[in-house]
Amino acid sequence: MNSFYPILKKELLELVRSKKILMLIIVFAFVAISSPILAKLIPTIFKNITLVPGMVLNIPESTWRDSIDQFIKNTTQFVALIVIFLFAGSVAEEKTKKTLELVLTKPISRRNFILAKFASSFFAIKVVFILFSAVFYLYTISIFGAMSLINFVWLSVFLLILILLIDAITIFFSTISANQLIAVGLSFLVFILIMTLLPYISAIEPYAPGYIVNHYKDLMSNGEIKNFVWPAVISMALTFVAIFASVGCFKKQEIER
Amino acid sequence: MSQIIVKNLSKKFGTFTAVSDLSFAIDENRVVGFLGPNGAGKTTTMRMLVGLSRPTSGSIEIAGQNVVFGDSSANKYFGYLPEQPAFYAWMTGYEYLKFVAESFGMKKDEYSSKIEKLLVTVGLTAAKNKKIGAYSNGMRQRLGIAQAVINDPKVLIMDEPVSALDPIGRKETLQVIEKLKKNMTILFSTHILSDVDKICDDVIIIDKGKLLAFSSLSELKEKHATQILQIEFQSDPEKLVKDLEKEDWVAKVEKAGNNLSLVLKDDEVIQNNLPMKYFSSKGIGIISYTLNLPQVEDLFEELVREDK
Repeated sequence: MNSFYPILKKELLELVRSKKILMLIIVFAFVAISSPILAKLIPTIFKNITLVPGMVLNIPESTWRDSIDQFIKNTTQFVALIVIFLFAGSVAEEKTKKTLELVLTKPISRRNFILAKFASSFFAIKVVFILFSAVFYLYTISIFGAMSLINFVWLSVFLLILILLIDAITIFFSTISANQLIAVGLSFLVFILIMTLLPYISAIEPYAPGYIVNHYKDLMSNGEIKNFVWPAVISMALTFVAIFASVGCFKKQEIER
Repeated sequence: MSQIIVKNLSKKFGTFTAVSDLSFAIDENRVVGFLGPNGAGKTTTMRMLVGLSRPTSGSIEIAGQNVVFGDSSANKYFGYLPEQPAFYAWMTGYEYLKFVAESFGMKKDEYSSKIEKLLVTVGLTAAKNKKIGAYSNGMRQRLGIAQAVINDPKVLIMDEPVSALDPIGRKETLQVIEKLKKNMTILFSTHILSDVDKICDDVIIIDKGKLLAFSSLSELKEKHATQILQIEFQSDPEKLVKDLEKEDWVAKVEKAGNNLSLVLKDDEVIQNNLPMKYFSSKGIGIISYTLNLPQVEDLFEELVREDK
């Protein structure tokens, strides 16, 4: 594994220098801070909108549940998309920019090269997600009062597993694609499949990686995690499949001029 | 001892054969020019040598290590410089060399002084903390050489190391190669044949993926290229051209103004003083004449022409 650490170091430095980590922080921070604010403000905004003269909208006061709704919606929209856009170039861009040529003629194994891509992006996503999930939690309880910490921790863990799966799929497509654009397109298609199509197939839905997105309310209400274990296990298994498939495919790839 | 051994190497892209049954062995501390017309298979061969491309058949050994596609074990023993090396533009020159040194498992106390020395050798000390994105083509090429030799490789493989450079960059890069050639086996491809004359011991010439010649430069010149007699006449030698072409001792005649270039059939033409006897018998006045030694260009043209 000697050649793993230099390439991992390079990947982490690149995340900082290319400002990818900054973009990740901005999007996660936006989700963490805007979700409780939107949850708080939406009822007030609706109350002030008069659609029909004399009509009164009876909107209940918002709670931490509305904040969680916003958090889930924003995470699955903005966070997942930024992960695809930021990491679709991980390997594909090295091919198009030809930087791979020199790196792969050094004693850096192809396996370590790909593993470093996964490790660095997983590390960045984990750190930023954990940090801003904590920010979201603190901000939500400061606005709406108490919310179960343990239930929120479980929700965050399952969401993180889903985001890491999306990242793994993105890096897999980045590995097999000739350029970043193809990788973005393919990753986005799979993302749509996971998030919108699989939940409609009743036999698959309880095991689908996106299960947490449609059933998080149960978890937050009663803290029952058993229904979420299988989707999480399957997500992690798919993540490992994506990693192994990326390594396998990359080992066989010829580097074109 | 041979440092690069290539046996029956072939590469096919679909039905197109880019490299066909290529075999050669390069000895220690030789500088070998790898020549061939465009599309001859030079770059494909070099990319197979360094493990970037998978051979269809055949074997490669560098510094005693088998080069196996997809396995980086042999990479410790060679340095490689592609035609237009691409670096991480966000790194500085020093950072890139440090990254390469670390990938070879070198520790800080080992690589610090090594990098400084290399930066002096390639003339990049003043630019070491500049982002590579701001480097000129010449600076990138010199950084490319530095990264290729940071591990003191036994073998250095370079694909067209000077072709993308302006005359100054080319000169600087050739000077760096001159400095390195004492301690390593160097294989480099180029289409600038005068560079081969300057720094190579041997040449390999390929065309359509096949080996046409592999020998020392001096042997090749002796074996293949005939002598060229340059003659300046008092008046336009137009009428002489057809007569000379009929002579047994003349292989080819080329005219430029009052000058004629005569490609001679063999060494005996001069030993028997045939040209001077001919002009003297015809009463033709000559201002000057020079016998030119063959250049790599002539050898190259002759071998490729023969092949066709």
